[in-house]
Amino acid sequence: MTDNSFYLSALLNNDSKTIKAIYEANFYKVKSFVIKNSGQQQDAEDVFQKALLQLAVRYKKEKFVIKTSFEAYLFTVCKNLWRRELNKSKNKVTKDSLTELPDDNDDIALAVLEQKRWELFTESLELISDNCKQILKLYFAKTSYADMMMKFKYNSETVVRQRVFKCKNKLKELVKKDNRFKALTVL
Amino acid sequence: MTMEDDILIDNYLKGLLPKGEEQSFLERLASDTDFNEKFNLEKQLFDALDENSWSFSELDNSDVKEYKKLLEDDDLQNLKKTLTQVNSEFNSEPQIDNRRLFYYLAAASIIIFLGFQFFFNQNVSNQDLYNDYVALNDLPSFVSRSDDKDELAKAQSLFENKKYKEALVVFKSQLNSTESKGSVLIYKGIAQTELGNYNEAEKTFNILINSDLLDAEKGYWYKALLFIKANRVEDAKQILDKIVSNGWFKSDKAEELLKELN
Repeated sequence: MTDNSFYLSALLNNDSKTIKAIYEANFYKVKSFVIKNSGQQQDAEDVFQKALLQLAVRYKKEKFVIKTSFEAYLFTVCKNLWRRELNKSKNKVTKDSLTELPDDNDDIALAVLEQKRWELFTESLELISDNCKQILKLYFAKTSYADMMMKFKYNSETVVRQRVFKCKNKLKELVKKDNRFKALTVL
Repeated sequence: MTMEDDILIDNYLKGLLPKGEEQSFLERLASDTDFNEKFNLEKQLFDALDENSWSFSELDNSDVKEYKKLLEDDDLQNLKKTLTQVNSEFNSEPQIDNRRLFYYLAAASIIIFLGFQFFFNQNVSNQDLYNDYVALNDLPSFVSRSDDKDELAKAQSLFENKKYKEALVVFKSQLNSTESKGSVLIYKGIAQTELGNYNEAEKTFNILINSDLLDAEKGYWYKALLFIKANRVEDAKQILDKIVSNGWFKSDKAEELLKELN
């Protein structure tokens, strides 16, 4: 049993001593991140609890393997959950027909899928060429074509657009080829 | 996907599509499944890989449904309870809070202590300076004067016995009938200063300063002392500077006092 599955099993086994150790080793970092990004103590507590439930339910269903350290992985999940919270209101505006009462379990279940999709995308991005990676990172950060043209010393914005198009296709190819992709998109 | 479609989707996601084109774009999304699929992946990448947004999913995915069902199982419900409990214990842990509170209190008390020290020391030294320089024994005496001497001598005696309130009554009553108006104003102002009636004292010294009496310039000196007693050190310094540069009454003492204040 690796260190990482030790923590995941502890969650499923409701091992309160280990859970307490997880809090001691990780909560303050998460709290300081949430508070630095316009959250409060209560938000940090919610995010942390939801993150641990997310890991538990995912591990229960598919015995996944954490490739980094447990601490680093938990922090990434918490960061993404907080991003999710901050963007929730934006998402509701576009889907105002769905005015169901918020359910914690819905939220956690959705967040597992979204986290998995995010992992697939970021891991695929790491697999393309350095130049493409740099271009796409700027593109997804909403950098203008004009600024990208200056930065990469291209002759025109059209050249930049072509480059972005090619790099994006490469990324999408990798994403679609991955076994995980199907499960993330089929209904 | 063609580059034209890519640019189209890109413009839509960035909100750059003109109103007319947006309508036909949405119609195409609804009717063209292939285009719809391409759009969805594009939007997911667009939202997920931008640190300021997040790519949300829908509840109708089969995996999501399964996670939801699993979350209702006993083991995960129990985990939820444990997490709530550990969280509340952890986040209200007394030793951490108390330790922090202790540090805060310790820090606060040091600050308060230093504040008192500073304030108190300054108070004491300003009071000392005032007492050293006001030199009440050097004040003019009314005892030898004729007409009003009885009343003013009486007031002076009250003043010397630190009965400032009573002395003030007499000085006020004698003010307009005395030849020694300058001296009476000085006594009156000092009595007011001693009683802590700084505003009244200031007015009294201003009357002296603005008068055409020979003692007028003495008003500056006593006003400066009043300011020191009232802890208005900067105001006092300004007047003392004036006394020194004009060579007025007690300019040597004023110079000395300035050095002490700096």
